[in-house]
Amino acid sequence: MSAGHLTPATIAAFADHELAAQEIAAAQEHLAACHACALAVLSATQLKAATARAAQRYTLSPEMRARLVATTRGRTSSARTVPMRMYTWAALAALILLAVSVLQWRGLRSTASPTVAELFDQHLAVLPETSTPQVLSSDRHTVKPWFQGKLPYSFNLPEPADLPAETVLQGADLTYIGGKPAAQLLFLVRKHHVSVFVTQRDAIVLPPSQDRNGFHLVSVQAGALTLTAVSDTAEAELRAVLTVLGHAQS
Amino acid sequence: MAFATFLRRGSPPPVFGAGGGGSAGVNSSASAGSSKIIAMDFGRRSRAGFEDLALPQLAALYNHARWLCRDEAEAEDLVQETLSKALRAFDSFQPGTNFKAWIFRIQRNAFLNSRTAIAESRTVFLEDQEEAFDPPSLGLTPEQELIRLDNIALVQDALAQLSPPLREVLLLCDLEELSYKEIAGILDIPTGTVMSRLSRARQALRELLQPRFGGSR
Ligand SMILES: [Zn+2]
Repeated sequence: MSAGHLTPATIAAFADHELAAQEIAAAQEHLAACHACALAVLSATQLKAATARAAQRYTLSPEMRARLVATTRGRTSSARTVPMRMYTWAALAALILLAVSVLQWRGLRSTASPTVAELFDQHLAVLPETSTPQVLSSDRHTVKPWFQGKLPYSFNLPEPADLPAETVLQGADLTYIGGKPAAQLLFLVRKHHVSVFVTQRDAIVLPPSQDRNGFHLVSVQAGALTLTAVSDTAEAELRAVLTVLGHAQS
Repeated sequence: MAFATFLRRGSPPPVFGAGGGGSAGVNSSASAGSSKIIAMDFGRRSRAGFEDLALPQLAALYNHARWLCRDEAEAEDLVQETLSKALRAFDSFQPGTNFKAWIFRIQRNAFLNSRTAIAESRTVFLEDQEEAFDPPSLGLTPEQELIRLDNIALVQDALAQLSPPLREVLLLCDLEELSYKEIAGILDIPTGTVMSRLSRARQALRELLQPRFGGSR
């Protein structure tokens, strides 16, 4: 496979995760060296991602859900987390990173302030599947103390049950924004990776919101802290997460 | 309650124990590709076990039903019928196989017998010409798509215009992230036909999207 370009069928299968492990390795080796095929894979993956997003059109109302649950004639089960599609989105994220190197993330970098660009970069940096959060837990009692002594301030995390629907804390990283230590909380919101940066209010200056090539940045003040969410998910969902986090600070 | 769940990017999702009192466990497979929910057989095929597997699929079943039926009430009826049928047939579900693919197949068969499908598109849905695999075109440059595909409403509109069989295969692959093999099982067609249909569906989607952006290729 390394001899020639990837075939259209291979590109499609790559985007659909239908390649075997060794085929993936061979394809990735070629993609690292071949601009044209990297663009073709990115193109296929972009279309797939756009389809997935657009196709998720209809949501179940709580009443309808209750009726359907009744159909199963049993107890209503408490909310459970089913973290599906992790691999898929990690693979997509890896391709987005590929696009970063290929396209220099043009729109993203050209007009954003250095701080905004830094936040987008920090978010993108945690997307590839090879990156693992430094603290890997959805338990706030694990995550919060982990930052003890690493940050010059403290913050609270909400109860998992208080988070918006289909929102799960995955873990956290210690990061640096503008040269100062900051908390990066990693959430999964309906398949989308969301980074929430917790910084001291006076440490950084940010616009309330910013859009770059399908990625959104939303920033709110919560007491002495600034909470900034970055993701490719809908702005309203970012605001919902920030609202819950903001409440946890008061 | 706090979930003691540890999620690791790019590695298999963790095993989930059953909820309180439940008898069945749910395990996520370690296979590359889309994660799958696989039932472990604990010897008792209880209703609680069924719920553990079915409830996480409700939102996906309903969304898919809406795309099939194009009507809110009918979609709810279809999911209701799907759940009833799946519950009755639960004993025939093979542990170790993908529950999602299983229940989607039941929903699809229920849909084919529904009023809407018979009235509108049954023949279209059942039509199956065996064709050569048509390799997908490389299409627009990603640079253009980065900008263009941002507009969810436009893509939804294009999806709505696709012929039902093309839309169906695209939803199962791109949204539900089922494997080609699982999709073949749901649609009762060979894997090769899944691939060629997918390829045609994506080509059609690109063609529908291009004029809207004044794109050229
Ligand atoms: Zn190449």
